[in-house]
Amino acid sequence: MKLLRKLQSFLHKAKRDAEMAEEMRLHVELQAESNIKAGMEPAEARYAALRQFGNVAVIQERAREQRGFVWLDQFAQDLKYGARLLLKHPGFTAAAVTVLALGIGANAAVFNLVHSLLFAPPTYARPAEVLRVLSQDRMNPRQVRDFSYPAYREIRADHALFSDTLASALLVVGVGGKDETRGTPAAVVSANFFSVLGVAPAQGRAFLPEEEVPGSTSPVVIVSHNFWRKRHFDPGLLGSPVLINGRSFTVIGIMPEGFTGTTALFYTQLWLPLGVYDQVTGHEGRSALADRAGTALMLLGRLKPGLTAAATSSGLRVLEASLERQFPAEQKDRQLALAPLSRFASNENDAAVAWVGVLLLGMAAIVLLVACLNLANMLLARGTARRKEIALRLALGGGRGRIVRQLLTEGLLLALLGGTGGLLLALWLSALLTASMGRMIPLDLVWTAEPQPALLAATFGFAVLGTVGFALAPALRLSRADALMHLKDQAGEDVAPRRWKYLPRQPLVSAQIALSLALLTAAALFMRSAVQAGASTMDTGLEAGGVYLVEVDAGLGGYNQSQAQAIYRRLNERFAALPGVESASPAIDVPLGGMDFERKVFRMAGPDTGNSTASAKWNGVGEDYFKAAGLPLLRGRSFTAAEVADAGSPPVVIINDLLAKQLWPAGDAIGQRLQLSGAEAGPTLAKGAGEAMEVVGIVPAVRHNLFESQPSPCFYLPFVRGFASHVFFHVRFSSRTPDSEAANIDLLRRVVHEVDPALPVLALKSFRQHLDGNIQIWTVRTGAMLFAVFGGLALCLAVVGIYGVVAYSVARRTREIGIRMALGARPVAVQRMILGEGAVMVGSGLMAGLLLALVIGKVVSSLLYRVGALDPVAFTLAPLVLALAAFFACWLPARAATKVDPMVALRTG
Amino acid sequence: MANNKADLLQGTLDLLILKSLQLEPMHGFGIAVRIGQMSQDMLTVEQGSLYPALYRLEEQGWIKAEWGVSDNNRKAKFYALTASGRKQLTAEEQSWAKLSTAINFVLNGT
Repeated sequence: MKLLRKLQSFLHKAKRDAEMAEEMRLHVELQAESNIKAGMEPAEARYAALRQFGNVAVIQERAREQRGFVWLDQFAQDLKYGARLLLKHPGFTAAAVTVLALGIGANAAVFNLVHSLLFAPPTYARPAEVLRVLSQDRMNPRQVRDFSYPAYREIRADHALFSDTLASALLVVGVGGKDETRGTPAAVVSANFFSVLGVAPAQGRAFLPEEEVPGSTSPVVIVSHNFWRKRHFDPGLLGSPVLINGRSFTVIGIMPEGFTGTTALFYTQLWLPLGVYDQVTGHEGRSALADRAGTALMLLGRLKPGLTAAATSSGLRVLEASLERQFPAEQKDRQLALAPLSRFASNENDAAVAWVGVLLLGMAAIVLLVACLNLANMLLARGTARRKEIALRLALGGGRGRIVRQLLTEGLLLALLGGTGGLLLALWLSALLTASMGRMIPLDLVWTAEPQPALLAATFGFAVLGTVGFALAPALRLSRADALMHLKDQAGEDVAPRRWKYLPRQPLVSAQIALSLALLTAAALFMRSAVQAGASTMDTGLEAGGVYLVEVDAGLGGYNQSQAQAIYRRLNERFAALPGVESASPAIDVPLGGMDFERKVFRMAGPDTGNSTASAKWNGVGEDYFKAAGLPLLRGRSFTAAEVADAGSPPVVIINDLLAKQLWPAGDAIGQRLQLSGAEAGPTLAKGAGEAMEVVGIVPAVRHNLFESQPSPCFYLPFVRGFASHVFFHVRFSSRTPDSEAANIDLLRRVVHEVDPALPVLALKSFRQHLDGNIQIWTVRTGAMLFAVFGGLALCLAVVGIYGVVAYSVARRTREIGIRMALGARPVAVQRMILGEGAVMVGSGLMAGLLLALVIGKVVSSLLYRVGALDPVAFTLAPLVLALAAFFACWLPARAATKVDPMVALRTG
Repeated sequence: MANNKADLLQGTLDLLILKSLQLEPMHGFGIAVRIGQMSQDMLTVEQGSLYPALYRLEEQGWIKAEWGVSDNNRKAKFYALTASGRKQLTAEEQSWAKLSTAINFVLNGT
């Protein structure tokens, strides 16, 4: 009832205002009449009545305040007034909105990235209860591995710790028909996978226990909602066949929308039962799944209700002991450990990446802070010009609270405009980043550039935060009621003591310069780091000019191992026979490819001075690999064609000089023999481990990984012995070939198509492109780019801020400058005075900034690539650039000051 | 401005307005005159407080306004007590009586 009345009075505002005016007019008339009756002259009576009544406008305003929803009314007024003001000063508005949009946009984009990368919760139920079980080397706890299926059965049977345990192996499978095969992320999982995660298929059913057992080759698949969407939500998908690695699987279930499986960053698209593991991994003929030495299965246990991760250690020791009894060989010297599931599907700790995210957020926050400082400055400067307006309003009876509210509303209006701009900017930046990352890894990322509720909320939050940040302090300062002084004040005249005019603004600018310098230095450090990383891809140790990479995987096309080897042999012959091609060879690994194979090797014989065992990277290669990859043999010979093609030929190995030095530090490695250890992850060797192999050649070391400071020990096996269906053909074109990269790539693609049109080609590029496209260099470069953008933004904002303050001070002191010049000051002296004042402001900011930069340098030093925390280049360049820009920003208004004509200045002042 | 004084008097002013309307509906000027008369010219109501108070009481639903014709044939806005206004008046009279008695006790007590 009351609300209704309030609403009515709010809605009939105009009528009520008219009535109120009429009512008060009557009041004054009646008062005047009563004054006449008391004996006054009519004119005087009316005047007295008006005086008695008081300030009509104020009374009306206060009466209006009694009405319903008055705050809404006033807010609308403020909004209208604010919008009019903004339209009246388009230059100021554009500058302010741009500054804000940059600040908010940078924050929203980083928030979007960090949120989906680090903080978006996993898509399974009660994630805190789910822990990963790992097998740790007792001697070297950093060396961890996963489990075999038999070991998994053993661990699952134990219910002391976990209510249930699932097993899963992530892999890439080829999905599609004969003409087009797409590599798709999939997981081969135990039957209880979905029940342990607590998410049931939205349609269809989960896997049955019998579909999990080794040897059961039940061809069934559960697909993700994303997969279904890519099939345009085909209502007939359930029950229909899908071609996976050349075999037909029946879709028995579709997962609910948003479910990504155990991966947090990208969508696992398909789930297959463990029973088909051997089929989809190309282990025909023998069961890799049933192998007790296997390490392919990641185990996730759901803790029993009420059990905390800390309280598990005794149970873990019991489980460990029983596992060691069951698997005396495989679990020798190993212990069990629990770890939270990595968001990045890696064995590493997520903390480092989380750290980068926090750092990025911090940097973005500094940009917003700088933007706010800048805007506060602009508002203050403009507010000083508006002093008269505000003083007038205060004098006419406007309340201070109302004026602060009005100024805040104007700020909010700016922030909303800036926020809208920022949102667009954030979406654009996100689209840019996801596109760039999408080129890098062909996965369906959870991180998207679509506006999500979290992003919208964050943007709005940043806008409101910004309003408080930049509008509140100026509003409070400007509305202070030293009103009369400003009414008398002449426009643009600087009459108050100078100390008070400039001091309050200067700290803002100095703070801004300090923050900008810190950001700029961080940006310089990261850019140096990117340049270093870029340069270091150049010296992998390979002579890579003219080399092209053809990445294929016959396994994804459904070919078995012997078929694949036959195709690869034909393909390599065709490549080698191409005009302009010097040599060609398959290899199962490529330096800086983001993945390495590693294995333990043992020395068989020889003088007993070196290590008897070493851990080494390895590669399976063809006979011309060293020619094609540009790796000159230091000693000995390469493989022969027979050794590469025939698994029955005597076992030989080629090692790099580092491994040679480690195993045979004194003697000659050629002719010595070494042996490989058994159970390790990675491609299986055609002949079992433990076979003694003769070293026939030594090659220089190559860097496999951007982040390893030194090349590592490495050995090479003939292709047939170290085989994987995922192969990189290295094709070296003669440097005399005039054709362009694109033409060569086209030529190679045609050859692949002629040999087998159904062979899935995963990538075709020059080695140069491969190095540039390396995920590690991408990370370093993208990081550097983000920081550079932040640093650049901060620099621009700082320059704008300095220029604004100095130019404004010159404008207000036109008269003073005029007088100085009239009294004989030379333009140079005036210029020096203005510059000197600027230098104090900039200098103090730079000092503070340098200290801040030292701190930031220490903080980010662990993320830098071959750049010290106190890198002299970065610490010289950043202050220099900022100082130069600041000098320029001071110099422009200082020069304008010398152009002041004393006569004009004095007359107009 | 009369801001502070009005705030102090607010509660009392409401009571006085309600009381002055007890007999018959009146317009704003009439209310001001009536309060003056009733207090034997010891109280004058500031217009700056009167109208906001009238609008506030109207928002509360204790008085309601209607356009009518005044004694000297002018169109004027007349305020009248509503049923809840009468109840409010009784309540405020009682609480005022209590308050003034209490204050008198205090003042006479020493």
